[in-house]
Amino acid sequence: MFINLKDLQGLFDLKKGNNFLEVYLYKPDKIEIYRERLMSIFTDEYIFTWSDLNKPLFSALKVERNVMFIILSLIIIVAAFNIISGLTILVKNKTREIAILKSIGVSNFSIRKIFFFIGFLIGFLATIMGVVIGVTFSLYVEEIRMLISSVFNISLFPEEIYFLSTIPYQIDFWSIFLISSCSIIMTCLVSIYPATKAAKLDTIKSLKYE
Amino acid sequence: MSNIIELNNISKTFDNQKKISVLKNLNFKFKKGKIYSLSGPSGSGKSTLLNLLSLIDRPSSGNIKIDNKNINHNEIEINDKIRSSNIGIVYQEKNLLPDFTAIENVCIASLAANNNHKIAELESLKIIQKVGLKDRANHYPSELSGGEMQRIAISRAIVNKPRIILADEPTGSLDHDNANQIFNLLFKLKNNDRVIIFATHNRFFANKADYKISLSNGKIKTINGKI
Repeated sequence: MFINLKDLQGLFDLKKGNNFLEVYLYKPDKIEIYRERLMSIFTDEYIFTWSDLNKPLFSALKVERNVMFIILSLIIIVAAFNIISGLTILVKNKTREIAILKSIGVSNFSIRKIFFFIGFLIGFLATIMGVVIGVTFSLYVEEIRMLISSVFNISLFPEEIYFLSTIPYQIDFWSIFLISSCSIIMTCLVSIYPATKAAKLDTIKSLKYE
Repeated sequence: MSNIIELNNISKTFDNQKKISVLKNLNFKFKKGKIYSLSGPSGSGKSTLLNLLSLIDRPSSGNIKIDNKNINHNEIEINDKIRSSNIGIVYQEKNLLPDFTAIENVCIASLAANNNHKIAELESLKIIQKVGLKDRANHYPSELSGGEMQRIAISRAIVNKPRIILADEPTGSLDHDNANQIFNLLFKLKNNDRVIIFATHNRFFANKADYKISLSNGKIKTINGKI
């Protein structure tokens, strides 16, 4: 039902300054776009969005998100160092085998390729496993929350603090692709050092002492 | 008889805390179709000479010619190619890759010479059959005896039909019967276009070579030839 605003004000005997208009959107996350549009329509009015009205909560969530980003980045750095140390140990353990390969004429480039490929494979499989576990965890996050709460008798994600009865989740394929690509690229980059080290091994020393 | 390898004023020194001169101004020409044995006490430079001949190591001074072409030790890729297609090496022990089966160990040398996978597999099987280990082709080195491992190592060394075969005390860790088998196998590989050079402490086997080179203090002490 549509009605002229002035007629409505007359009907309820309202003055112009007492008007509040609430707009509900199908896509509340696109609020900034719609806000611009509304501002161009209601040039003399104040417009408050849901994010303006809950600013402290959203800034707290933003801080939490940034901290999570830092923590996860640190985890990725630690994982990258794990790959470096793992591959370096592998190179150390396979010193004699590398020397044998060199003695039969396998080029340094091929040896570098072998260890680079191992690093890539570790990164690739770990990324796939991470995506599978992460998506499954997101899909069943509420069941997992309830299980942990009941097993340990604690209140995880309390409603009175977060104003939400269930843990919300969103599976964004673009984010999954971006994070997966970054982690694979990172593992490829960190594999370069041990792979180069393998190719530079002294064949004679390795054959003699390993 | 043309030369296949030429050593010109080859010296090798190791600079650790003390400068050790292992080979001193060696000059020698290895001929095609001959078998050479290198003998001498430990530290006389046998293994170092074989490492130089296999292009794994580089001399401190002097130059090596293979097929009348000077070897440039800075051209690592080219030398890798020469080694994969023209040089076969057998060491004393632990020659094989433990994570690969006998046939895979042989196959890998063929693949290193850029052979097609099918051809490599076929050639490897043929050679393993030749050394009498067909039924052991799919066994891992840990499942083979010392003699069998050396026979597989020889198979790997000859899979690309190299013109230079180098063996550094190939029977050092074997009993006399197995050592005899290995040397018989090595001597059978002799042909007009190939040189076989082996280092050994065993006088009996050293005397079987066409030329017996004795090294002492990094120099060639004597050369005894059958011819």
